[in-house]
Amino acid sequence: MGVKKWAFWLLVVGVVSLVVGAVIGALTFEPVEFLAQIA
Amino acid sequence: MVKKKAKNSRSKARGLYVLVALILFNILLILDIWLTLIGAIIALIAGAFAVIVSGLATLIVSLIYTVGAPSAWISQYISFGGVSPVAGIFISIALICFGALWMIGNYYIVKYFYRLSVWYGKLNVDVFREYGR
Repeated sequence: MGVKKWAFWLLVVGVVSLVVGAVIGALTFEPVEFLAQIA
Repeated sequence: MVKKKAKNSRSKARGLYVLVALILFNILLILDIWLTLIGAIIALIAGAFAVIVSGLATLIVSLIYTVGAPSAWISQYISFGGVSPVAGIFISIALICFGALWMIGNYYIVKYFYRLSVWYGKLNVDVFREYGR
């Protein structure tokens, strides 16, 4: 597999993972615990 | 014979002038730009490496949190701040992918910079051969 194909698939996997991680993070976010951590 | 000798010494002097001019020009104008670019390239490589390593570290910590058994131990040191560690797994994969992409970009930058440097070196040799003899 050429470098350009590697780059394309890395971009696809990276963007999909970022979106999935952001959605899961937003859905499971607990403000109370967050505030307790930064307090 | 005498004429030939004089021509030879003139040619040598001219070669020396051209050599000194080239060296001065390169030291004063080109070397600093070249070293700055080398520094920028090293910084880019270090940045990409740091992003990949941070992704790997996040992946390891997220996996330990997700498995759950040692989470009580590790939560003394590292906190996810109210975010699920499962999200951390995906974010870490994204970090590793973007770091690898950055490294691929660095590969092309190094490749073209090397070609540019070789081209410039050959240009200098050509200039010396053309005007220094």
